[in-house]
Amino acid sequence: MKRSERLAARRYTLEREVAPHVEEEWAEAMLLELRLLGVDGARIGAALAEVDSHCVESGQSAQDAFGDPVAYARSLGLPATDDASPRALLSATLPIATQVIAMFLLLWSFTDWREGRPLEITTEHLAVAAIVLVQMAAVVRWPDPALRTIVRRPVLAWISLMAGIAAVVGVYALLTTVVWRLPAVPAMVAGAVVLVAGVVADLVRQRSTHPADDPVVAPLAPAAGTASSQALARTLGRAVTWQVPMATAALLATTWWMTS
Amino acid sequence: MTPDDAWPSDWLRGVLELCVLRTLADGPTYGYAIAVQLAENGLGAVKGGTLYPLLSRFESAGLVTVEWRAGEGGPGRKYYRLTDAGHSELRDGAARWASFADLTATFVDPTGAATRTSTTETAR
Repeated sequence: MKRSERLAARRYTLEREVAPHVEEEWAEAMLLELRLLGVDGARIGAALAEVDSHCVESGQSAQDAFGDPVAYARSLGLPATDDASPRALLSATLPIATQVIAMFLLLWSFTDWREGRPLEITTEHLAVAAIVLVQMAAVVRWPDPALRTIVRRPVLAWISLMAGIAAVVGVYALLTTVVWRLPAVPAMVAGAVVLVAGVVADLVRQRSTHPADDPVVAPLAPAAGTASSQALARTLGRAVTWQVPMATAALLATTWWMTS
Repeated sequence: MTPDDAWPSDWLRGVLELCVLRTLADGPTYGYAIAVQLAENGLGAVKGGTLYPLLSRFESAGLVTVEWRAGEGGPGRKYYRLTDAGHSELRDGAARWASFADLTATFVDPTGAATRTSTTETAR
């Protein structure tokens, strides 16, 4: 098998399973749009299977019979489930946001502690925090355009992200007025406590909800195979939870090495 | 009826819902069979992109119940069955459409000349 064929086989596994007679790109676009609309996996599977069935019996391509996949997906008016909606998924990122803020606090106070001075909260720190919070609030407030941009225009999304980081760095270089002076050790302890709290909050949330546990399945397919995908979703969820603490630990170790 | 003299799509849009309800009145059926039946009855080729959103609306409005059945050698088929609410929607809609069609026919052709010409042409 050629490399391009192998890549296509991996990319369109789901589309080939649920709608084997539909053009792969068409099926992918419809599936993606229904996911973005927050429709649950079983309904998405049924909608795709119905398109597949129609294409087989009519001998038409999905593009000819159904037109634009995104417009068709929207025209079905399928109900969104709260668990799968972009809003719910993004609200699930709030514990991560807490962890990120704690990480900054911990790293800044650790550096100052290593250099034997108190933690100085400067205007640059506040500006960085404000920019990060405004960006996150914007994404939570308007999740659909944000997610659509990330999925449809990854390059534009990347450039926006880089512009955001550039703004943060620019602010960092310009403002250096000290606002508060805090003892470094208590600030470090506070950062560590908030970080642990963020991790615990995320683990608790994962235990009570299963946002990723919503596979797209064909209506007549046997229920097998979902167990492994559930296990995978759980492993991925845990990996995301430990990402910020691990990054923090790595950066602390780097700081230790650079200041020793 | 050939594709060349297809009914104006504006007309079809108004009456398609009722026509689909009518095809469902004879018993549970699936999307492609509905499209075929509509075409056989002279309504022209209705695209999947028009038909299935309509069926989806019927489903969420409780006018139909759905059931997946295995296809013969092919993929499964989603069968739609008219509910009591669907039957009464069809009865009300059919009665209202009949009086609307009657009214517009009389209005646009008060002397009945166009209707007579069309009947003569069909007879030939």
